[in-house]
Amino acid sequence: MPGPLGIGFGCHLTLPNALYTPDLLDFVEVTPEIFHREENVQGCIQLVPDHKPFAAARRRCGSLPVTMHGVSLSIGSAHGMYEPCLTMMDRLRGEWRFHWYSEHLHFQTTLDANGEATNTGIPFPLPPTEEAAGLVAARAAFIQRRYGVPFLLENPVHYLPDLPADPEIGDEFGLMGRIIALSGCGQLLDLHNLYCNAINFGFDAITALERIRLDRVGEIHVAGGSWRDGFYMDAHDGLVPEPVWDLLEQTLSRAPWIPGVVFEILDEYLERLGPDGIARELERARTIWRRHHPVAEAAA
Amino acid sequence: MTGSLAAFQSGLGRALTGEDTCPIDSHSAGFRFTMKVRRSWCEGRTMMAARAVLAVVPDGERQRLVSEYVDQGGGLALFLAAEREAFLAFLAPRLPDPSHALTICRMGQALAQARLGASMFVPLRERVGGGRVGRGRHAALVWFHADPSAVMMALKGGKLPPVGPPDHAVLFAPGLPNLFRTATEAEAALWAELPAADAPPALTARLLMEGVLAYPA
Repeated sequence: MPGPLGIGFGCHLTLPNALYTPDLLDFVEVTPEIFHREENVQGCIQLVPDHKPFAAARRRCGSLPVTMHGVSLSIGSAHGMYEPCLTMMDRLRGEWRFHWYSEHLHFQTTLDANGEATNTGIPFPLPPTEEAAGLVAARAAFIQRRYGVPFLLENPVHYLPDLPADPEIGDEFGLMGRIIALSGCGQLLDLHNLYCNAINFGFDAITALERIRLDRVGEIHVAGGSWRDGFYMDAHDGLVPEPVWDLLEQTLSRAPWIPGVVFEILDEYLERLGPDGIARELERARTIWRRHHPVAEAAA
Repeated sequence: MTGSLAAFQSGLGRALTGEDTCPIDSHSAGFRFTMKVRRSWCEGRTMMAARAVLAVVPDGERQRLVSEYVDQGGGLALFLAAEREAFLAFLAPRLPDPSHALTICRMGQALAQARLGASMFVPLRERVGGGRVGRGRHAALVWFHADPSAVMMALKGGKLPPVGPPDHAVLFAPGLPNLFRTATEAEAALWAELPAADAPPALTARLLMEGVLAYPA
């Protein structure tokens, strides 16, 4: 795993610069697709930078370390990954140093009746099977070699019961563990996703931590969510709930070497918290981080 | 697991379009909730992709148009620009003509084209002896039915001006600073006549440089 970075936050262009200072943040997590658009270049779909927002994102990150958190690769699609993401990352690797690259363990494209790739409109979880583990592991290992930085897979949130499973894999924890073992990649442990799944599927999140390879966790996400129709949703719409802060405390007490913690919120909910509210969430994450990082605390 | 991962994903994908191929219990509360979340994502993506034009469409009509678009398979694009292009193409024939909403819709389409052309734009110099000129591949002229700045102010929460005659022409092209500018009367008249063999050189030199005009291939 990479060396510690500390507390991170997404690259939100509408927030004041004052939030993006080393006093408050140790690194910025960039979702590169936000600053790119699809373009048909000589018959080939490519992701090209949207020049103004891309330049603004570079300025926003300034001298802060950067990590890349992709959202469009669809690493679990049986018919193939979304290749333009890889060529986008090839280009970014040459022009914008990043400490690690993360993506989501899910699929969001399938083949339709005509064999054409089609978007599902929402990410879907992979069934916990040997086939799924082998497919993703091979791709994850390839990506990690390709960029020469750690590649992390984020545990997904979903609401689907009874996914078909192979007994030797069992569930989402078995699937992630198998992929990590086969590929050598790491995990982005999204504690809010874990919390959502624990509520919606009725298991204990703290106990589930014991089934996660914390030695392979390269980053943690915390976020807020909300209830709808009897389900607790990973909505990224506000404050981190207390049980997720408890999970962060528990995780870092067991694995203080984890390199970074990121607070996630969607652009459309930034106003709900405001810069001060966001700063408070980042401060709280830092307080927990420091409690478990004597080296970081001493340096501060 | 019985069956391959590809079959599982394909069955699920086809079930999303209404086919009876769902590999998991489609009557479960979790699956039904997933479909609800998916629907709201599709509608949300559509709203976000065309925020400007939807801001001037009345509430009920806005929801009806977005629903109809999503019912027809819209709202699935991975990238907002692609969603915007598809949704504006869907909207244009469904908006009242004339209306500020239609003007903003056309403006959105024109801006997208100009932006697309800007990444590879090379200014053209006028050929010796002139010749036939046509509309630039990524250029457009949009007629506004009120002062464009008043229409734009309305997008920021102001009141829309009354819909008047199409008196205000705005050019969009990849070589323009910010990709647009007001068109002069002479430019608007020339645009309407294009392609033209006898355009006045005093007019065409600038428009070629801006990508508004092009020589036919």
